[in-house]
Amino acid sequence: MIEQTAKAYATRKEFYRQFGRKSRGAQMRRRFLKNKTAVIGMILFLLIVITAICAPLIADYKGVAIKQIRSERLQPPSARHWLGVDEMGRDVLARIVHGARISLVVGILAIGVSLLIGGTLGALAGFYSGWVDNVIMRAMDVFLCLPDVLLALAIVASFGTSQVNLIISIGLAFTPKMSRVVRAAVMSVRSNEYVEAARSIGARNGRIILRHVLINCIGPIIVQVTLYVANAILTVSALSFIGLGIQAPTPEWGNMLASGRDYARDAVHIVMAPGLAIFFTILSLNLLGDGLRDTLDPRLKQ
Amino acid sequence: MKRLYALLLAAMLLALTATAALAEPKDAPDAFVLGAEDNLDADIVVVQALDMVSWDPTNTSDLSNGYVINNVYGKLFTFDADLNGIPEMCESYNRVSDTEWHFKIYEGIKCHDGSILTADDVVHSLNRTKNGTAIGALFGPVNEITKIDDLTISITTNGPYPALPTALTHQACCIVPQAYAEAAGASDDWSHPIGSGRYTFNSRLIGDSIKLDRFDDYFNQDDKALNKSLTFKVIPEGSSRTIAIETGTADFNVDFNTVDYNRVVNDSNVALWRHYSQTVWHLGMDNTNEWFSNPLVRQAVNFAVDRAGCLEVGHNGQGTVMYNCATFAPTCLGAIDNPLGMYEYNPERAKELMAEAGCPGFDTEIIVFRDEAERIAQVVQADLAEIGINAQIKRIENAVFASTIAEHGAPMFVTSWGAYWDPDLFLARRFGTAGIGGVNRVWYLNEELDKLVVEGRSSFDDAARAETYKKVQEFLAVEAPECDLYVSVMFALANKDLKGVEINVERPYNYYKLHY
Repeated sequence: MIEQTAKAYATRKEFYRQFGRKSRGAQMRRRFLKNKTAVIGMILFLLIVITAICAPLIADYKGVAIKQIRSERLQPPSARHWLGVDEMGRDVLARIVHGARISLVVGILAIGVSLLIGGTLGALAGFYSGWVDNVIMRAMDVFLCLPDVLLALAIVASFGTSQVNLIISIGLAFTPKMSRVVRAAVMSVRSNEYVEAARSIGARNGRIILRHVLINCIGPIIVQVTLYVANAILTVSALSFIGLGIQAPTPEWGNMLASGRDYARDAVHIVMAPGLAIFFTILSLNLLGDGLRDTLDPRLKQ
Repeated sequence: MKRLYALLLAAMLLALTATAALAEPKDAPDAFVLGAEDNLDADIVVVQALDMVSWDPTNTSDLSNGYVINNVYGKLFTFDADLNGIPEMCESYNRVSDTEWHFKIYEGIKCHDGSILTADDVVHSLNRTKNGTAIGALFGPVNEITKIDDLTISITTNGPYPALPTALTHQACCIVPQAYAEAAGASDDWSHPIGSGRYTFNSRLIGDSIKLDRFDDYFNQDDKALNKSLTFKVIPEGSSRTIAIETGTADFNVDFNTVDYNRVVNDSNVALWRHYSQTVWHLGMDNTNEWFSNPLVRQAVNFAVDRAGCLEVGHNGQGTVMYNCATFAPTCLGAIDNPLGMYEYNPERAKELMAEAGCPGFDTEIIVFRDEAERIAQVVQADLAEIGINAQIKRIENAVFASTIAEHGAPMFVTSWGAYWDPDLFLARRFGTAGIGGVNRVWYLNEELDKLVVEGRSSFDDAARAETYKKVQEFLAVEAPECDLYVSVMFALANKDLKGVEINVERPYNYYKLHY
């Protein structure tokens, strides 16, 4: 009823002012900020992103992150090396911050790839249903049978290891999941009145999907994207750990763990640092994702 | 009070010195004596880093393979701690002339399928070896292998071949009964080996374990297995192998990871054994590669690599740096430390050589298949970057290493080579025409070297041969077909109560003697 009455007012804001309520954006913001864990997640994630962006300011790549000073090998954390020195004589902190760049870029771009491909397929399947849906989703189901790490591994093993291949392979590996998420979201809004309305005034399908359907299911998609980025970062590390991801000497948390594991018992800082970096990144994204879900999912609206 | 402190301090110092004195690995004995109270029915678990490759002896030169199949197949000669040949199934042998040898096997050697081994089996088996790729070059000087009577065979060579008995210790010279070899060859299924060795095959789980049982009818009852069964467990990760010994899940670690040196040397619950070695860790280059075909670039690589750094990172400093380009470990016949005094760690000289070669720098790959090699490769990678060579490190499985080499898929690689005392047993194979398709992994071809190799084996006088090998090393120093890095100390980590530990210059060996 309130929504219908709103038409009588010039803007939504004016309406809410009249009724003593805040705008939808402000409401969401308030709800999000009330969720303490979500805020912690967001701050943590922002910190990691800022660190990654400022990595060259924190430590020079050539001069520190991949520079081997053999005489300082395996040194524990100290004032000079905050997180210690690794088995090759490289500063661990410098490698962690430069590793953050790789992990975040690969993770985010990979999910971008999966969103582009899986999102398109899912939107088509969800919007058209019928045989289109059947063909696309049965194909996706086949890929869904394989764990994403295994799928990414198979792709990267056949195309070779490079950052671009890694992004593509992880992106493809997450495509089936992404298509399901988008399809479900599209189906839930497909038969809403505003879609019917758009159709009745002669809007083309493409326009309806982009302007009316997708825009209205952005909530659940954002939530899933956040969580999938966390998964993708984990996958990058897993692949690098087994030697199929980012190659030495480029620092990446997974390959840092792999090369340091032999030293784990005597120089625990070498594996502790990348391990914790992965842990906090995944934690921050999961908290953020959960918080966003609470905020954006209307069913949880208080 | 002051005196009390002084006394306490002295006592502490004494205790420290005492522990420091204890903190040394045990030197592996060349032989041991069996005690009356020894338990000879133990099931021994040996851990190694890599899986075996094939039960077909002629398939590979891989050490992780040889030290497994040696237990199932018998050989005419086995080796001592210096890898020199000593008779195993060979009862007697004599050199009839400079170019003909006679070998007589024991009578009544029983195979695992109950059949009796004959000269026919030996001839058939050694002919397979001769025609195989793994050590074809080792048998390069061999002309003909023929049967004389049921127990005697004759081997003729195309010139003097003093190293023949030692060549016969190679895993490719394992004697496979003719009937089994033919059946396995025809069906291309070698999965259930039959031999005449100390153990019969029980089972194998690829990539995981190999189980062998004692063969009670072994022909030499005085030297049969001292344990009931031998299980090889493959654990690729170094510290996990150490933990396996510490926790008692395995008895003997033949690929000790020196990263754990300080930890285990002070641990009284395990025993660390050591022996000097002839295992040469080296950086190979494909000499047919666009840039590595230029000797100046290869020399530049030899100047650019910090060998001490490689040793430090690769084997925790446990070894000796070497400046050789021909895998002559310091204890090999005729070995010289730094031929022509040519090399040292000198990046500036390397840059000059690169400029001289007109090489602006290039991208390449370093192939590795072990943790140690991967660490060494990272040092090499950083050093080469200084002179404009940008190398990516690529890790592969040891089983595909040979085929990667065969396809010129390894422009650079880091691996180890267990050198024999007699250079004739590796020179032709590693740098000669005869080794192409085998272990001439650097694809080095030079007729002059081939001639020197023949000259090296043309005499039975070691002093004269040493002179020739000196020339070979100087020749190869200038040619620089590869870059030798260091010789590592050989270790074995064992349960503290394990007896019968023996280590040779390339690996812990004679696992059949392990017992409690």
